[in-house]
Amino acid sequence: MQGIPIISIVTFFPLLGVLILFMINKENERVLKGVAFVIALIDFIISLPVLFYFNENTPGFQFTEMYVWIERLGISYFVGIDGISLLLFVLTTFLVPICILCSWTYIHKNVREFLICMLVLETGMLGAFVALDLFLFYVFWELMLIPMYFIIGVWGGQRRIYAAIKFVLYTLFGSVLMLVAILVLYFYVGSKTGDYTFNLLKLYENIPPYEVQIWLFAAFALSFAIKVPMFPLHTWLPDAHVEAPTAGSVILAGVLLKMGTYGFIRFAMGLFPNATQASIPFFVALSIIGIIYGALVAMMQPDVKKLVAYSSVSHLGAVMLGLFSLNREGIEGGIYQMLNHGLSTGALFIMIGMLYERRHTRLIADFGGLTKQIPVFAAFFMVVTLSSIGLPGLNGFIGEFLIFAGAFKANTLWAVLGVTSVILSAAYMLWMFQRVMYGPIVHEENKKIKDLNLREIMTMVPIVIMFFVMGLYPNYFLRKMHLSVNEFLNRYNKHVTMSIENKNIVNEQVKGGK
Amino acid sequence: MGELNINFWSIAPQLVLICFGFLLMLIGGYTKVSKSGYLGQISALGIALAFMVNIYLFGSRKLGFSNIILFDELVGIFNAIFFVSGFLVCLLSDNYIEGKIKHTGEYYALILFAIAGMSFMVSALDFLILFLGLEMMSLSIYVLAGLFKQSERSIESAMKYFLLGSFSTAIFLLGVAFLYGAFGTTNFAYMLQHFTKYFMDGKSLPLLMGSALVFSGIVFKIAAVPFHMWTPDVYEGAPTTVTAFMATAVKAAAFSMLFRVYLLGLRGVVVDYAGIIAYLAVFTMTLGNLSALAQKSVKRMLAYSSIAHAGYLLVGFTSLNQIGLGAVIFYLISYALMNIGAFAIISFFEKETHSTELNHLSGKGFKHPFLGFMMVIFMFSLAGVPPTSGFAGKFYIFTGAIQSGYVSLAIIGVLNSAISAYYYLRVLVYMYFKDAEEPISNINISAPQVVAILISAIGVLNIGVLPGKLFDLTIKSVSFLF
Repeated sequence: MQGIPIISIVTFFPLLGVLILFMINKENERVLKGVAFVIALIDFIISLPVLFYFNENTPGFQFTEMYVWIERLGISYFVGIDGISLLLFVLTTFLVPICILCSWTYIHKNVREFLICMLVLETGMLGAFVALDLFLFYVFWELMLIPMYFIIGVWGGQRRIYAAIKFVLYTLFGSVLMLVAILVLYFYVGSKTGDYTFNLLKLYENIPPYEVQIWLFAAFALSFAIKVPMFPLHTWLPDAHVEAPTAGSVILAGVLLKMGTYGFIRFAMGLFPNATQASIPFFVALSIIGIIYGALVAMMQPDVKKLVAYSSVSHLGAVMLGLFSLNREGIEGGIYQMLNHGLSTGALFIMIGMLYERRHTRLIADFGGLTKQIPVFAAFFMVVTLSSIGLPGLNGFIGEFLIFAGAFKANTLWAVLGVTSVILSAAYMLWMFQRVMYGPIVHEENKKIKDLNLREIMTMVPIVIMFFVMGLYPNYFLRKMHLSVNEFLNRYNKHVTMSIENKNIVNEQVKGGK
Repeated sequence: MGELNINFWSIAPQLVLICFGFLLMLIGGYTKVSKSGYLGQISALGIALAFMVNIYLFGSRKLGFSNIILFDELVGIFNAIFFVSGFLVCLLSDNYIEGKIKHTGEYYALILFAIAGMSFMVSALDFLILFLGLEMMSLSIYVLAGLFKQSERSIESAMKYFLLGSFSTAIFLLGVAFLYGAFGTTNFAYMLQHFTKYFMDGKSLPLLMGSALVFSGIVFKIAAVPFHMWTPDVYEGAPTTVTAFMATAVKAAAFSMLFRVYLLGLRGVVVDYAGIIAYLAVFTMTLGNLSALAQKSVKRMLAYSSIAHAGYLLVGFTSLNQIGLGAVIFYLISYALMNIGAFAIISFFEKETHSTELNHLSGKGFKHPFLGFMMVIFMFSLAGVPPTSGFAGKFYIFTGAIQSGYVSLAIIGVLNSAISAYYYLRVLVYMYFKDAEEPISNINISAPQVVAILISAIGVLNIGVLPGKLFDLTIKSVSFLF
């Protein structure tokens, strides 16, 4: 694997697809979809070597590439992957072809533009996961906004314009403040060390004092918390999810929300450990509120898609709880749960999209008794539902278990409060499932509903396989994160204990002075 | 002051432009109105020639006409901004002014004269030359704004601009008179050299009065708060191509005055002004953006947004360090490209629908994929989203501000930038998210216009992805100040 810039190839390969799409006639929709799907699939296949050749015996970044970009300001094109970003990277390449497949009949106007948006979005997402230069990260981070804005705004539902603008403005307000924080950090570290750089690894080594950290952390955390989204900044999410087309929702839930949690662990917590330590209670409180609030609101939703959207708020709250437990179980559980949530919530959105295509409604009250009419759908839907609520044997269980183990280790109360999510999520998901799938058929239209076709089954099969793989062999994935997470924690603990020791020294000096 | 040293090389680009200006008037007079289509290309050729002369001279330092003209790298780079804007505007005017302006020769000649005036402004080393250049530019623009003689709005715009502009130049001139009283000269080099000698014990009243009056004159041309009121009406009424020219080249020229006067001649007082400019920047950005939010006409929205951009530029100027000042020039370049591009597309649709209202853009994005895609690039660039030049420019400006410790200014700036995203994206909302209200007719775009749009768009993306080289160049052009 030496010498091949595999990460850049995977990241920018979709753009090649965009060029090809531009050359194909707009009317030729089948060819357009086919080409886009093949491009996305190839991208997934070439991303697999990254997974297989990833060396799990080293904590550092692998497959790194570095080129000078803007020399005067110390900006470089610096990418690399470690155990934290590896699986998210592969998750992204895995989900995009599925998204294109599930939009096959859902999207019927301006198909070419839609596919272009999807592929540009893929580049943006992949880039954000591998960027190791703050400037580069920011560029990719914002680049994702443009295609997502169009995906929601053009191909969305009734209130798509409102949802698209809300999505962009929320994200933008957070991220511009992060830009200022990046610059302040850049000049602060630069003036201390004389080395002006946006290189993340160098910035890791020069942590500013707490008084500076806390402001910068606030700016970074705001930006990421909006993206996660944490309570009370979550209000854009239900709108965006409900209005977005299926593929948009899948990407949004599957990958974009993970940008927030990933940003926390890679940037906000990594760069500002002391500020993180100081704000643990705050963030844990918000996470737990999010877990419970999201679940309760989800329970009351009449619209299935909105229900799943609010369940995301709850699940992501759990991820944040895991990350802020700041021990190995919590963080690994958090990362694992990011993947699980990407898969299971993505799958839920796909299945809701399939229902919507058949019945043009998403209201729970319009369904009922579908099991007998569409048994294949019902089977898949059951597995997806169970995965989402964390049934042992499926992927969701592993993530949740680790998170709560971590939370328990950190503070019993957190775990007790957090674990309510398991009960609540079982309640709202199973209740929803019951109302949609079981019972008598009340509506005549539901009798004529068609079962899944081959394309739809092929969309679901890879995801369901992954549910079982990740549920039964979690160690294959967890093994890849161990060292990187350890490294993160070591660095974190070093800074936090160091500052405590410093305080003690100061205290002793003060006492000595007396 | 030394002996008379006339050095025509120091004004060579201007000479080319003036020659072509006269040539155009001549040809225009002898050409049938129906066959005057190629005049735009001739003027573009003239500007291109001036641009090449400018490149040939770039890097050298030429002093001429008894030290009242200076050609240095700063002049070179500002010239490049004027020439590129003028070049694009000439190509874009092609189809747009057809049928609305009878004698197109005059139109193009006036653009060339205006550019020559700007070029004189930036190369002036003396207040008098600066003033002559300013008047040469302003008078040409007053006429250009009113050239759509059939349109009331155009006449109104020209009248308003002329009256208010005359006031501002009068005030500017009064300031120059005060400064002459304080120094006994109008030469920048002399002022700079003897500044400390004159004002050893405090800055005298005539100096402060003079610099304040000159400053107001410049702020008027920049269209910054509190002298911005003319902007929306004038920009909206003028022919769209002329508006594009005013919003980019004239603004750049006004900033070149700020550089020449306050960083060269009156360098001693610029520190006193930094605080004022910081406040002006805040008000200019905020007012421009908030007003733009409420606009229904794209043209008027872009007018207000140009006020907001003047605010960002002032943030860069306030920081008074190499990165910040370089960023101002960098931003002017990128602003010229994206703004002319945006105005150009508006002018195409205006030609078709006779309106610049937002709702007339409904559904146009998918019907005209090329124009739509270009508009996406320009709008995201204006909003400052990567990977466009608008983002790179803002990034440099705020980098400069933070380096000088203006963190709060940077925060206000980025928040403003986020607000601005709303109204820029609203254009795309209409173009892409809404369905067409009216039957869509074909749009006639001529080859020069396509070339101009492509140059702008490629420029925006190229500078956005690889800003390093251009930024080094802008930094180098201001390095003589440090």
